[in-house]
Amino acid sequence: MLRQVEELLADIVRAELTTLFGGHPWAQAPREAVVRYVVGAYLSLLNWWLTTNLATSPEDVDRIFQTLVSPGIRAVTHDT
Amino acid sequence: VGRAHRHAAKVPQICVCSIATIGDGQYNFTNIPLAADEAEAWVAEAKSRGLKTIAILAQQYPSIDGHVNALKAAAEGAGMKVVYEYRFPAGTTAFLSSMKAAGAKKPDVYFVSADEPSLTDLGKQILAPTESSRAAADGGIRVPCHLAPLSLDGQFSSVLDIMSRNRGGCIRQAVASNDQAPTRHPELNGLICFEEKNDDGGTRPAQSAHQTVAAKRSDRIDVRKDYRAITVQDIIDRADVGRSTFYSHYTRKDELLRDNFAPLRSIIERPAPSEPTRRRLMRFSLPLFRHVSEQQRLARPAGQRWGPSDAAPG
Repeated sequence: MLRQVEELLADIVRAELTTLFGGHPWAQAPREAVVRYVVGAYLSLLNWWLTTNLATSPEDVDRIFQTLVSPGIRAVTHDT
Repeated sequence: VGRAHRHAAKVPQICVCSIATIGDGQYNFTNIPLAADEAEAWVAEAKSRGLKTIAILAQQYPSIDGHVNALKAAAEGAGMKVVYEYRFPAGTTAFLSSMKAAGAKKPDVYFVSADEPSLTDLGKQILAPTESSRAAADGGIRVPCHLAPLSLDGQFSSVLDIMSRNRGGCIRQAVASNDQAPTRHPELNGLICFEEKNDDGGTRPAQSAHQTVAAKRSDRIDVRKDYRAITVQDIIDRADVGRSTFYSHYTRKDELLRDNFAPLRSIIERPAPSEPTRRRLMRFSLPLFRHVSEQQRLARPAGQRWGPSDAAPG
């Protein structure tokens, strides 16, 4: 099941990256590496949230995720 | 996901739980409570009724093992004592001697978990030979039943629900019913009941949706065994539908699984209502966090530890 959701998220992330930043290769990192990085980070954060701290609101966890991941994506895609 | 949504054709049944002991381990995509949480709720209920000693009569079965272990841990933590434990193989129907032994320990309450035919026989015998259980029954002691292994068949129950939607119910109602009126197995006369199974056809009075599902649920497919080992025939058998019905919807079990994920996809691809106007990355993030939060809230009896109060519908 984890695999299924991982792939589902990977599809969504891949599609979004392509829509936002085009399909051309990136200099800093292979696209698929970025996709896996983002999905892994998301699932890990989700796991942290579920196992330790559900008092944190979904909005707060989302903010953490965005804060951590967005700069990396922008850097790797030269989107500044 | 609200009620209206839930009753729409495709009910999002998948939720991320961090239950390490079932499913894939780190993540499980079901909407079920943890065995530990169920056990805690059970023990809290028993304790609130002044019950101090427990006799366990439970079938040997992996998911039941998990619940029995969780119960013992919760009982110990709450200062309740397990005074008798009998684990029996599937198909056992003679319980008189074990009931007698259990009765001699004068337990305040019995924790029973079994599939049919054992459950019905246990129910009959638990009331007959032991004075303590009779007294408990006469005194109207009721420990919320269910709390039974909803475990891990959540996802397949939902699969079955999609296939036999007209038969009513969805697994989430079953989960939500944990904190509502306890389901009562007639044979256990309201004393306790765990893991029921609807083998009695039309003899039971009109069932509520969650009872229907509870019945269906116990006839479950054990996803832990191995998803790959589950055959279409297994699914057909459990869903009680014809092979042609299955194949008119799906050609392979993978499609069934994928179909079950479609609602999740639609939820996480939908932008969050309160999304900031500036361009943001990874738009799936907030809707999915919200969905998980909502699922957790629904999956847990009121007053239990999880569930942010500000969860927004997914």
